[in-house]
Amino acid sequence: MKRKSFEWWYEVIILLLAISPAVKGQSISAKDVMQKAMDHVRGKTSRAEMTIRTIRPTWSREMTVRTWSKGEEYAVVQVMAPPKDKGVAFLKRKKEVWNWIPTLERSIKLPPSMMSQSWMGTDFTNDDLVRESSMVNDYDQKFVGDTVLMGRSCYIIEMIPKPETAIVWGKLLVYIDKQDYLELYTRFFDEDGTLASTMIATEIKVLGGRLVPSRVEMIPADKKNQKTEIIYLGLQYDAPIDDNFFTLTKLKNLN
Amino acid sequence: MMRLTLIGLFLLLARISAAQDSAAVKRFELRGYVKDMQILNYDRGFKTLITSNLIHNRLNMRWKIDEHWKAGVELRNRLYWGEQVSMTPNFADNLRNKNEAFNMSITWINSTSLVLHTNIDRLWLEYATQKWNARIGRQRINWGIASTWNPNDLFNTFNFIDFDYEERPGSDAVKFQYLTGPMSNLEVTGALTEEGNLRGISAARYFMNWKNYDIQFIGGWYINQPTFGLGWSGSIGQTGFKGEFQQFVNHGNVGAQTNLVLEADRTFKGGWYMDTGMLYNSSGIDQPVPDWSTINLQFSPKNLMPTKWNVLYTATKQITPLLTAGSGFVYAPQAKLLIILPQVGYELTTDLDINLVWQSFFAQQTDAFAGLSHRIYFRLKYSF
Repeated sequence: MKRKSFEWWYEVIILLLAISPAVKGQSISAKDVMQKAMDHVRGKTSRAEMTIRTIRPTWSREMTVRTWSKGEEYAVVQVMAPPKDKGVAFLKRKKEVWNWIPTLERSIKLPPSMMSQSWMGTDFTNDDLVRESSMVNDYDQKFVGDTVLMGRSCYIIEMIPKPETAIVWGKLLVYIDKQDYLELYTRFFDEDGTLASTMIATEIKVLGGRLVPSRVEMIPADKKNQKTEIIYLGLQYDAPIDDNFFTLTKLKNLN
Repeated sequence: MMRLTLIGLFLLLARISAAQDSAAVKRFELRGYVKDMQILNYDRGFKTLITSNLIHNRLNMRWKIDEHWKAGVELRNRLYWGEQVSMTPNFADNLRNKNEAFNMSITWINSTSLVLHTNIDRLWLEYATQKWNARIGRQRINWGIASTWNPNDLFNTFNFIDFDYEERPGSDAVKFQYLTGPMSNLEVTGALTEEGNLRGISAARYFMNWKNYDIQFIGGWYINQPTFGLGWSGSIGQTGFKGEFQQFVNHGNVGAQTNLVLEADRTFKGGWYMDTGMLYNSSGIDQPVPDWSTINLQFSPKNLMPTKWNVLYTATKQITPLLTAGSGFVYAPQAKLLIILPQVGYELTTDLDINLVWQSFFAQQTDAFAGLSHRIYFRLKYSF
């Protein structure tokens, strides 16, 4: 009896040892990884200043932009330069987006279809900037592999938009660093499965007290020598921002 | 007197501006643009051409006095010359916005060969706290929601043909706004209109956001009759859906009038944007007009369009981030009035834009459906 009891414990311990790495590896779901990646890059709140450069074979344009966000629900994007567009701003509240046009001193509610369109002539969409869609809740995520990017071990997550959402992509392949949950590489596929664009995040450094990629490039697949890059000039995380900041009244009074 | 005041104002602002350059806090801001526009006016058969040129400078100034006080001054300087100036009697008089209660414009030069005109179209002082704000002076009261016709805009109707006036006219008004919630507010506004024949407009608007719709209710007194209205902006599926309804109530010898706008807009793959809408003006013309020169084209809240039923359709495409082309038309089926509005815009450099705008007017006339006139505008704009 004694021996049998020992064997029982022995088997349990062996079993635990055998499955523990697996448990550790699988206890986190693809959705959880995406949640962590979003929490990491977004914080409870975030403020950022960035340069956005649109590059074409024969010309390039640059603008300076400030952003504020609070969780997944609220965001504000404000153009600071060039002079022509200074003061143009976007407000996101849950699933609604407004565009403040300083020339007219008026805000216009954007139709949902506008989210998939180019943001002010760049290779980013309106959705990339204001994140109207949720990387966590509007997609079904699953692990499809592992790889190493820039010396960092990454999960490869396949994201399929849920049918009820307005997302125009057929599929996303998102590469997320296993250690710091950095979204380093994303491939956007059309509804017919062809690659539409690629996002590459590089120049990882500490900004606002967090390790983040400070340079993000969006490269359209079918166009040579074209891309748009975002370079973060400054970032601040978790400083309190009042909910009233994300309102139409505040939008018209941004400095 | 007005001239001296203006010159004094310029000098003061220049001093503030210079002083601010060295200051860490940017309290004063001056921005604007300079535009040059060549205007070609053709008759119905492209047989005669009347040309003119406009150099147009706009200065927008904002002064953050302290945490609560803010002031704004905006003015446009326009220099016209050409055949249209010499051939139009009292050309300079038409540059005034007749809806302004007080004359804050100066005609510096007024001859048949050259006209230089300055108009201050914003001049306001604002006090704001967390819960409420008040603004007095010439300002734009933006109650409109739709793109082209705004029945809810009781204070400062804009002329949708006048594409070169992006900022749109202001109103001499006092506005008080109380924030009832993060996305709701109550605004009470009183304004005077029409210099020489001063009359009042007063109205309140309650704005709210409900189930992904912006909704506004309006009630007030427009010159000599009560009025009420409703406006909304939301979406059906992927398409934006907005509308404005305004009813002017029968009062004394002033008859009732209904204005209604419905509009839908949507973007499509490849940078396409389409916008379609309709306007119903119960007092509008519902039959062909033999002579359009007799029709009142002075736009106002009760005259958003002289015709009764009107439809509009606009399609624009961003061909490259620098090149945008589009075309629109407005059609009034009963009066058989058609306006076609194609345009192309190109960004030469970050601050320099070039635009080609075409406006063709057609209507049913005694003999046939034919062109009335055609205008071509070629514009260069430098922003600073």
